[in-house]
Amino acid sequence: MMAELFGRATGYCGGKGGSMHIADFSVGMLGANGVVAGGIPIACGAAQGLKLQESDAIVTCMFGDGAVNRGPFLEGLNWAALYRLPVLFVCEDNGVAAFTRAESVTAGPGPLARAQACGVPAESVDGNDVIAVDAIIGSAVAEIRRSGGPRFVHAKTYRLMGHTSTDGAAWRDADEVSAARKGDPLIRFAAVLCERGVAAETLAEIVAEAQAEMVRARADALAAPWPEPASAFNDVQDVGAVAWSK
Amino acid sequence: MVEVTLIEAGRLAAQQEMRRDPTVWVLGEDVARGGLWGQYKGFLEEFGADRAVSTPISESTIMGAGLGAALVGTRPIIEMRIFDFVMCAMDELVNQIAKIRYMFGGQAKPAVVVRMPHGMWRNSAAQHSQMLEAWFAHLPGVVVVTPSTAEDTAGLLVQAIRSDDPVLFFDPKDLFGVRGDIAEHIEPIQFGVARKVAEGNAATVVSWSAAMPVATKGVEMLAVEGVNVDLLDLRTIWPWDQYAVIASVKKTGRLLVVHEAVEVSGFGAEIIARVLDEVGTGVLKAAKRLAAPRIPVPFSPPLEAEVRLSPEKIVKAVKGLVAL
Repeated sequence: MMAELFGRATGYCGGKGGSMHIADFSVGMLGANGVVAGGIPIACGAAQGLKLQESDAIVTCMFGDGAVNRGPFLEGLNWAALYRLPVLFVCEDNGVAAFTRAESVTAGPGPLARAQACGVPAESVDGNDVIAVDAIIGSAVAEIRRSGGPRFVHAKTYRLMGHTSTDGAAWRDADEVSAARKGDPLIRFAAVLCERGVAAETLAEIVAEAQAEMVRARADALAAPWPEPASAFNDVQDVGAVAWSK
Repeated sequence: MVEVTLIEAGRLAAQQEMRRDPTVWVLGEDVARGGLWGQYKGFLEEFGADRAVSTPISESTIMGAGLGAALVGTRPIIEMRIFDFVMCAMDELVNQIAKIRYMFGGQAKPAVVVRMPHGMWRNSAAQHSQMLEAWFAHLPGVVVVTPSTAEDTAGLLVQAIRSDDPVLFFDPKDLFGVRGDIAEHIEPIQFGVARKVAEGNAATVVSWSAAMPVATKGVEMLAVEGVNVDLLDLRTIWPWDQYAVIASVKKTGRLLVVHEAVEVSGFGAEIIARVLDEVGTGVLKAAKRLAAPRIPVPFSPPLEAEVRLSPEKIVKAVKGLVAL
């Protein structure tokens, strides 16, 4: 994944996707999308295709609060409910769509009510509470397997960083951000683990291991080869890939 | 052989492939009722509601769901009902289907056929008459199929369904009633191979889709007057049969491209530019496009006639080229 982020030949997509278009079909990860709500119709179709092939797999589709204002959100939820498709829709509601507060551009009672209006059973959860998220996702998946139909989880969270690497989100009040930082799920979950008797040193070890893994991944990615320039012409299409050749 | 209409030829081709391959299915508005044009008549009864899927009027999701279903190994036929409605699914077609194989470094196989009945048909006005096939030839990642006969519709649709590439299949609405002979077992027709309809040395005439019968009539009128031309039906505009066109131009030195779409930035411009690049002005002595003016298609019959091609216009254009 890190190699793909750095545009290297060894990345999942050979450097053609980058951060916006990471996919790993070998584990059933059908790809991230550069278009808000773009994955929703695709997820519905994947579920329909799996159902047609009598697979017992289910599909999970993640998107943000901005997606609920796009047409494919409403189309896709209606579709999933209509055909009783095994899709888990997860709306990660961090309150900001690009540089705009979601509540300032979203009329009515919000994502949960919209999902319910399309006939998709929906629940909200504190998205920064690891245990609560685990529980609600577990029960939603069980419900999907039991009923065959879709479920919607609305997970509230907070975006600590900007929209992109070049956006500092400086328009926000610094106090608001620092208050939200205390609610970071990593911090909160560490506290829960401490309460439950996990030693501070053990937690520190886990954090250090994870950080070391990231440092290694970054170094490996930077050491990986760039793609061959000629590979720009691969994987366009089988027939008619080249404009003119003899 | 059985004599059928163009629309029936497409129905038989889809039926043959759905019988052959259980992963082929069709989704779109009113499909279970046989489709707007009867192109899926009997599919619900034969293949069931899971393979002949009537959908909501949700073009984005019809297109996107087709893609999603292809990603897990099925081969959907995505029916757009009328080409013009694809504008409601442009993200799914242009940003997703056309690019997904490339963006994911070859992991995705978007084996979909998007059927889009296009062109003028009985005064359908500006939002039900468009011919924008050139847009899609401009789009890397897709095949663009533009048949004009029942035989080609059948063979090209079979090829499209078996193709791993996304295929945009432009059914010609105005020609749905034309008849042709279809084999009991429909063989696929390769993409990018033109069909020679007439033979001659005076000029090369290239056309496709609904403009083909008009071009054919014009070429027949010219033959009566002793002017014989090569007439090529491209059948697919991406890939297009550059070899056949260039071979013909090397013989005739004159090129007329006839299409129903608007002339400005139409695919005729690409063909003439490409041929000129290849053979130079020493060989290509004169070239012309015959196509629609750059106006939306109007409703009223006398207004629509202003946009339409005619055999007389073709005769005049060829004579003009020959005189140069």
